[in-house]
Amino acid sequence: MTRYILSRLASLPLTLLAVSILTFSILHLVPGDAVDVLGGENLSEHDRTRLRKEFGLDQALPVQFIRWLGNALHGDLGVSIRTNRPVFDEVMARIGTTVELALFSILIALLCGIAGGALATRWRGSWLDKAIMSASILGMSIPNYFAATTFILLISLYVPAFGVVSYVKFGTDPLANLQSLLFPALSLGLLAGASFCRYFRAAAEDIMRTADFVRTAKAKGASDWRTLVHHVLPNSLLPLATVAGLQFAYLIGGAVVIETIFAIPGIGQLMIASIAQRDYLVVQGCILLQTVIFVVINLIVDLLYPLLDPRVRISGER
Amino acid sequence: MIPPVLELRDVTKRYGSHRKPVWALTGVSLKVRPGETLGIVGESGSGKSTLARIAVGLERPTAGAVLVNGDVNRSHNGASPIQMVFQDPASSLDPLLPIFDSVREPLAGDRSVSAEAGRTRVMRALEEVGLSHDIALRQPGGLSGGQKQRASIARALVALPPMIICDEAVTALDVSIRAQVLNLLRAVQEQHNTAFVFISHDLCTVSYMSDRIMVMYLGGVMEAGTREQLFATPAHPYTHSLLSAVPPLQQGSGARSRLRLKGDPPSVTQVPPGCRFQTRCPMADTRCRQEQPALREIAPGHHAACHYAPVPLQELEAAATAAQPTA
Amino acid sequence: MPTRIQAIAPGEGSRPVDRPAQVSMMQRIRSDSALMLGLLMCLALLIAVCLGPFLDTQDPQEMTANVLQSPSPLHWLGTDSVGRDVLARLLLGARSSLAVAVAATALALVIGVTMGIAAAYLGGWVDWTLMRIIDIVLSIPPLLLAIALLAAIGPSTPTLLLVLVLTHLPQTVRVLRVSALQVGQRAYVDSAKISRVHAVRIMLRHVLPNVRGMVIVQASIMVAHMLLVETILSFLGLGVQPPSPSLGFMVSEGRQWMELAPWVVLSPGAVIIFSVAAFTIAGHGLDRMLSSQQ
Repeated sequence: MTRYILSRLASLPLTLLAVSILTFSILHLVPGDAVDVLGGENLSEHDRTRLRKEFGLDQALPVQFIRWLGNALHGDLGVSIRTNRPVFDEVMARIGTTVELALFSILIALLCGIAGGALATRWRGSWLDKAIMSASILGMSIPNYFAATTFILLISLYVPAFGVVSYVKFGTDPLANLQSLLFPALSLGLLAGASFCRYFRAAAEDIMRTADFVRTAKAKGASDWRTLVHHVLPNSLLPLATVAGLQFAYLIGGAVVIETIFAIPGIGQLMIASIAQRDYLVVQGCILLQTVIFVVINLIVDLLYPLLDPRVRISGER
Repeated sequence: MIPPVLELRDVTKRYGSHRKPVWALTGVSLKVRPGETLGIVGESGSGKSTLARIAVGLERPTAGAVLVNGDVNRSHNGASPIQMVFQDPASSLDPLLPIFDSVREPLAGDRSVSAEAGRTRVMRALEEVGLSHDIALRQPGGLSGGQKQRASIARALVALPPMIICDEAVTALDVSIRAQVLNLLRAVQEQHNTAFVFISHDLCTVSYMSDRIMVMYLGGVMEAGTREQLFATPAHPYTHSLLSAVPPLQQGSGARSRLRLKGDPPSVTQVPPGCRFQTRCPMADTRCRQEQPALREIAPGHHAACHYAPVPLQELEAAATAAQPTA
Repeated sequence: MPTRIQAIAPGEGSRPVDRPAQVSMMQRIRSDSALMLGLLMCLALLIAVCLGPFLDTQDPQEMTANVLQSPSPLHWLGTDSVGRDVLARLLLGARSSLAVAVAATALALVIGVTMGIAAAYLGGWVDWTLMRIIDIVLSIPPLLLAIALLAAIGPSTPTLLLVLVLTHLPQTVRVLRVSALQVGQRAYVDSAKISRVHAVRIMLRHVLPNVRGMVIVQASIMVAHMLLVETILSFLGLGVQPPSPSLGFMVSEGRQWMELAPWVVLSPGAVIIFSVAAFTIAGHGLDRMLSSQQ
């Protein structure tokens, strides 16, 4: 097992390096002079030369990259054109919000997915099963922005008192915070939950059909529910963890859209606003950070594999 | 002097990494002359399928040499000089291709064969294996196991190769069909003087087909000799146990009592030092556990890899009974 | 010595010669009601999208003074904020989204299937390197990558196609590689190798046709997913640019007037959901059919 952990950790720097190369090159994909991009238009020749030197844009690309990387590792990602604050500060200020939204969404997704999948498996073949599966296909077909928009519409029409509360930090007012994040999290979570539901149902059905220990449990007289909860659930955690990791990627992307719609001050909203403002250094910083979060989360899930799959622990290797 | 059609010199095959090697074959040598049939018997893990794949060129040996017609480079009119008939009829033929196309495939590399000539050869091959012409246009899906295997045999002989290897070719067939297919193979051999290597775990089938037989265990050769030698004077304890499993009707030399081996078959990842067969041999002693017996000639053309070969049956049975007093 | 064996009479083996081993494909499709539903939905969509704009409807670009009108006999789905007929825009927008999704899927499949089969067959360092690259590309959330590239290069239809193909290639390659590996183990591939058939010919003649089931399943699922992603990108203004109508952008535009004229938002949304669901259901059904064949 140590070998597995070490090999997973060893791939981390390479992945991060590749990600940072990609992020770095984004700025250079922008058509037009990078100086114009960074400094805005209407620059004097003097300003241009100054900016070129300051950003090292007169040097070769690989050199620029090394310079950028060196700075990035020190936390220096440049300065935002819009606010004149360091990019790093801007991004870090909002990270907590996005992470909170993501966690909330995944929680909803897991709850819905496992509950729906369990119910569907318990009564497989019945109308409930078919209804849940149909609902999950529907859920997978709804774009997140549409779900969000519909929620807002329904609330304004039928529950105006509830209202779409503007975001409040957790520290300030926990209840308001949760209320403000509820519908955003639902928009993301229900749709991911639909996916989980299908996977769980498929995994559970597979296990119930083939696993020997299920037959043993039933022979001993265990009810369907007990079998499900005590035997099937722990064994399906592994494929579910795989899917959860994948869904988290979509969640991070989706958060960008949801934050924009609900005006939640997270990294995603910052990124979109900065794109509109052509504040490319901020865009770089946002992408870098979001990707790092995703890579780290995936690593954690991978490292959790041995815990979830006793076979890996016992055999000592994967 | 005509070179043997197939010659393996000290062939070894290792799978896996240096730290965790799996020795599928160790130091196997054999020669097959034109028109001859060599039978190879062994249980799973004996390395017989690996041997087949190396002989036919699908894999390269880790050490040792493979010579076809005396030459390291194999060629026979653009195709391989050694063709193969596989075990599973279902996966032997591309399910999407009509039988005709599958059978024609070995001729693809031969530029001297025109389309018309190729067609004739395919039809002739199909006739020879007993498949009617309208079967040629069908896909394998509608055919029975026996028919599919016949089609595989047709494919194997369409380019008139000097040798055909049959790797468990009849194992997947119904017993009633087996005899027909075996007779077909013998007819093919008589017609074309093809050399054969016939591989099976079943000693009966192997002996029916073969002039000479090689007994393999855990990647090594235990005994090799003519069919008569092996049946009349088996030398290796493993051969004895294989023979004792054959129903008396087949042997014709009196009934034998079933010789039971002790222990479980070891896995290929854990080959014991010394004699490979020690874990199950009733007669294994300290020397067997330390020193690996070489394959030595105990009679003209008859080789065995055992320190005590030739081992008489009575001695072996006595040792087996002694080891299991409650048996 | 007889040199021929008589032709085998019917009854050899366990199965008579003439009975077909497989049920026809149409019968199998008909027996799976979900698959039928999915395929019918796809068909309906394709017909509506191809024929719709030619029917006698309003001009999608014509801005009238009838702003934000509710559905009426003149405008079946009402008008938007600048008086354009919603239905006409819907049909055109659906067509463009579908066209982009199908084109991107076709491209991704051609490239991805080739890479997947090649990686599986060639093995060795080629396979290893490709898998590492894919792992790296998959570490970036696809939507982020799409937004970043479109923002940097500038939104346009070719860039949109590039971005869609890039974000979907890794999964395609992975899935096809697994299928190709399975096929590569089969005896008929070994036989072709023995017969000295050239590697490329083996891949084209034996491997590719035998993985076509998986290719079709992937195609269906990918179209569904690309539709979804395309509408998200156009919602953000990064998709097909105005004045060409696009479904996602219609939702985005209509949001401001949602309470006054909900149909401006709900109708594109409904079309999106229908389209994505159609290909998803069809894809799942095809997957079921494929698995039962194995």
